[in-house]
Order: sequence, then C-alpha cells, then structure tokens
Amino acid sequence: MLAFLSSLFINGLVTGSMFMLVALGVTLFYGVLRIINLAHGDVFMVGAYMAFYAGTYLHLPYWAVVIVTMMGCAVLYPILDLLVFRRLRGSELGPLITSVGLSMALESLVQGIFTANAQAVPSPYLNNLVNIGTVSVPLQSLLMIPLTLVVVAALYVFLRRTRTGLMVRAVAMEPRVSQLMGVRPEYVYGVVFVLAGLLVGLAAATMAPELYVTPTMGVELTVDAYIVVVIGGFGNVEGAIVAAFILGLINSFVSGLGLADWATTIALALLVGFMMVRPSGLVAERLGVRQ
Amino acid sequence: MNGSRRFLASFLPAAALCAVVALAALLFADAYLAQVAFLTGITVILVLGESFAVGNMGQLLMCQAGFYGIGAYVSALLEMHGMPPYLAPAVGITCGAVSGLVVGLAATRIRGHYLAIVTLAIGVIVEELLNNLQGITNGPIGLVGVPTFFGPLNAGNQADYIVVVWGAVIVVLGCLALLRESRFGWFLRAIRDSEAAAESIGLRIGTYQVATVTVAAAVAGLAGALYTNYAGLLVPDLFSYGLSAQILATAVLGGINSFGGAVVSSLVFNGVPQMAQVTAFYQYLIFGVVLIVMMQFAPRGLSQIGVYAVSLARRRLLGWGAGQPNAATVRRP
Repeated sequence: MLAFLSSLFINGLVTGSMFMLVALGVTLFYGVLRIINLAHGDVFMVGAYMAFYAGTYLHLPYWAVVIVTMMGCAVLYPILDLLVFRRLRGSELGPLITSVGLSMALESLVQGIFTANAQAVPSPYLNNLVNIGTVSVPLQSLLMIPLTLVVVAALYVFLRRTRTGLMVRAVAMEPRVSQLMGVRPEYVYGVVFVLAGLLVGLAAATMAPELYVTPTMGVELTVDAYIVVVIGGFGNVEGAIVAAFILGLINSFVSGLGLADWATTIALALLVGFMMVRPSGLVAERLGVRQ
Repeated sequence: MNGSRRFLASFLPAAALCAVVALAALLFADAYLAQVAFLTGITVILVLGESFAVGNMGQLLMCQAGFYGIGAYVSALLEMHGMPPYLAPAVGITCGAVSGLVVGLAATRIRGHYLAIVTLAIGVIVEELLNNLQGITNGPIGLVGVPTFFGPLNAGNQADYIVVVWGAVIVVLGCLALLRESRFGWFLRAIRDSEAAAESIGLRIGTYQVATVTVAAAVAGLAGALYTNYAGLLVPDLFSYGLSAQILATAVLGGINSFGGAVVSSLVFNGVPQMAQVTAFYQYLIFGVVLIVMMQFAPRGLSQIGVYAVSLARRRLLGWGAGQPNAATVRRP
C-alpha cells in the first residue's frame, strides 16, 4: 500500500514538474505581456518533434538532444512572436484569437512534415529502473525532478538578482513607467519569449521519451497549463510552481483510484471553481508586484 | 436610420445570400454537394451565434462546440426514447439555452481573458463528460441509430434537408438581427464599449452577459438538434475544443458582428474546402495561416475588406465620397 502511494506521489511530482515548465511560460506571457497564448502547448509539441528528429534521424546523444530542443524552442518562439504577436501589442483579445490560428497552423504543419502517426523519442534512461525503497521508477522520470529544481532556481535568480530580470519585473509591473526609466519593452518581451522557449523546450525534451509524440499532443497540455495558471494566479510565478505540483499530484492520485478518465474533468472543474470563487488564484500576487 | 430600417439593413443582405446559396444547392447539388450544403448550413448557425456574442458583448466564448454537443446529445437521447423528430429543434434550443444560462450564471463576474479561459474549460468538460458518462452517452463509441428527419440523405430527400437547415439559418439570422437592433443590442454594445459608463446609467452588466451567453448557446443547441436528425450518429469527438476554435476562427475571419461576413466566411472557409474535397489537413492549415495573416492586417475580417473594397471602387469608378473617407479605412491618430 505504502509502495503504491509513494509511486503515485513520485509520479505526481514528475507530472507536476512537466506542468510547471510549461505553465511558467504561460504565466510569464500573462504577467509581462498580458497575453493569453493558446499555442504554447503546440510549441511544446514542436519541441517534442525536434527532440524526435534530433534523436532518431541525427542520432545525437541524449544530452545533445536536450540542448538542441531547448535552443530550437528558444529560437522558434521569438520568430513566432515577430510573425504573429508583434503587431498586436496592447490588444486584449487579438493575441488570443491569433494564437488559436497559430495552434492550428503549427499542428497541421507538423502533421504535414511528420504525418499524424505517433512517434517515439529514444532515450538511454527510459529502461533504467531506479529503486527507491520499494518503488522502482524509470531514471527518465526521475531526471525530470532535479532538472526542474535547477531550472526553477535559475529562473528565480534571473528574475530576482539580475539586471535583465529586474527589467522583466519592472515591465510586468508598470510598462509605461519602466519605459521612462530607460527599459525597452520590446527587449523585455523578447527575453520573455526566449525564456518561455527554453522552459518549454526542456519540458519537451525530457517528457517526450515517456509520451508518444503526435501533432495533437499540445492541446491537452495547453489546457493543463491554463489550469495551473488559474489555480496559481495569472502572471504569478510562485503560484504556478505550487499549483503545478498540486495538479500533478491530483492527476496522479485520481488515476491511482482508478478514475483516470475523470482526471481532466476534475482538474477543469477546479479551474472553473477557482475562477468563480478566487480569480486571483492561490497566491494573490503578480510577477513583479512583490519585492 | 430608424430601428426597422436598421434591422432590414443587417438582416436582408445576409438572408438574401443564404437564400441564393440554398437555391443553388436545391437546383444544382448532387448527393455529395447536398451533404456539404447541409453541413455548411450547420456551420453558419454556429458561427452566427458566436459572432453575435463576440461582436456585441466583446467577450470570447470558446465553448460553442459544448453547447452544440449538449443540444445534439439530449435531442438524440430523447428521440431514441420515442420523441418525434419534429420536436427536436425546440428541445435543442431549450437545452442550449439552459446550459448557456448555467454557464452564464457561473461566469457572471468573469470577463475578458478570464471568460475565454473559463468557457474553454467548460467546453472541454462537456467533451470529457460525453466521453465518460458511458451509461448515458455510450462513451467514445457514441450513439448509433438515432432517428432522423427524413431518413438517410439521398436524391429523394436532399431538398428537404437543405430547406430545413437553410430555413433555420434564415430564422436564426432574423432573430439575431432583431436582437442586435433592439434596445437589448444597443445596451450590449454600450457595455462592450465602456463598462463603467454603462454601469453609470444603471445597466446590470452581469445580467446582459448571462442573456447573451444564453442566446449564443440556444443557437448552438439548435444546430446540434438539426445535426443529430441528419447524421443519425453521434460521437464525442465531433464536439471537441478544435470545433470551438474553428467556430471562433470563422466568426473572426468573417468580421465580428457582421452577419453577412459570418455567412461568407463559413462558405469560404468551410463550404468551399469541403466542396473541393480538400483534406482536413489542408483545411486546418489554411484556416490557421489565414487567421494569423488576417489578424495582422485586417482584424475586422472579411467585412472590413469588403467595406474597403466597396469604398475604393466607389471612389475610383464613380468619384463618390472622395471627401469622406470611410471609417474602416482611416487609422485613428
């Protein structure tokens, strides 16, 4: 029983890590640019295909696959911004609508290149089982947890301790006033897109070997990311981190009870409930508002 | 212009276009084209509801597919337990309206980005419920053997199907145009343009939002009931988030709050690709790319391009209105 519970717990942490990496990008977009990007999960999907291509066709070692995917997404996102979002700055619902189009375009482009068949991404760690007490977990899953911790620490240091991070927080808090202080918002927006790309690229490269890669895998993840962001509070980095693990654990334990089909419904009901009762999320602070 | 002329101005062009399309389908369609004409009619109804809500309320609804699904499943289930098919449209409208009322009441104080996310979530919940409530909906396998209006579509009854669906389109158009030009519609647009100003003259914003969501949902429910009675087969995949996204995209491409635009864009982006038997893959790709490009250069969609073309032609060909540039073509300073 204990083994079962702890395996559910570890599984929840792993899923939560993935949710967090994806949701951090979404919450940064909202916190800094005030946009809803419904194509974020599809960028994850493109990243997963990058990992698939790098691993299967280029035969790169796994660590190189991770780096290539992160770099690829970090380059892809600013380009997408330039093509898709740049002209719609300041519009409330424009970027949201456009991101729906972007999500359709990315899905069908990837389907055109790689077909709709599910693909597997190779990884040397997939079959390495590690024993923790009585539970054995694939090393691939376990890799996710320390990597995520490192990334979160790095993001935290970046936002709190560097000059650019200060600029990001300044624009999140007061775009106009920060402009008076000599911060170029477009530069900061670029930084946010690169950051979101790096985070989602890491998520894609580490999770892709465990999932089957399909062109439509992104939609579900977008929904999950928004559940996290709503529970954590829109634009709130700390809230997203907490909420991602909560959602991961809920998902894992609900599946453990044999209700896997209902996991999404429960999480979505949570989203709607939060929106009705506490739209500011668990932690009612936006990025940059707290010192 | 007074109210009734404004009503005719927004209703007649779109209705005439629908009548022409229906007539063309009646005269020239073979079995395949009749099917396309029917499905396009369903799309037009869905898009009209969305376009009305988004255009007048200024809020995005991302769960039209959910309301559509509720209308379809409830009328299918009732028919399988003996309800005659001709009651289905009323059932569809009622179910859609009730579910819209529930969603609207739940989201009374939610607006903007948040409302888009909440309705997206509700749409996905409906799809999940259709999949998971297996005792009622038969899960992913779906409902088979639902009664239809006139039996399977064939050369003998295709005209009936086309008349029913395009007749419904015109009725929906009339109702929405009436609503838009009524006091209700003007209040809605007042709220859209300035919530604070609207509140200061005593409008209850939440009530109007609930009413608009209810109307959009009722329209989608009607579409669901009509679809059921044509298809005879329902699976949850038909009512996915992807469909809501497509409905939103079509409404935006047509030009928000332009009925004519909604009809044209449904024809261009849904009807024509099906007619040309373009695979779903290319249809999706075209949709995505066109939506992105349109949002960059003509965010008010086909209707904006239409208005621009008309004013350009007038000036070039007839020398009219040279001194009064059209509002749609002028950038605010």
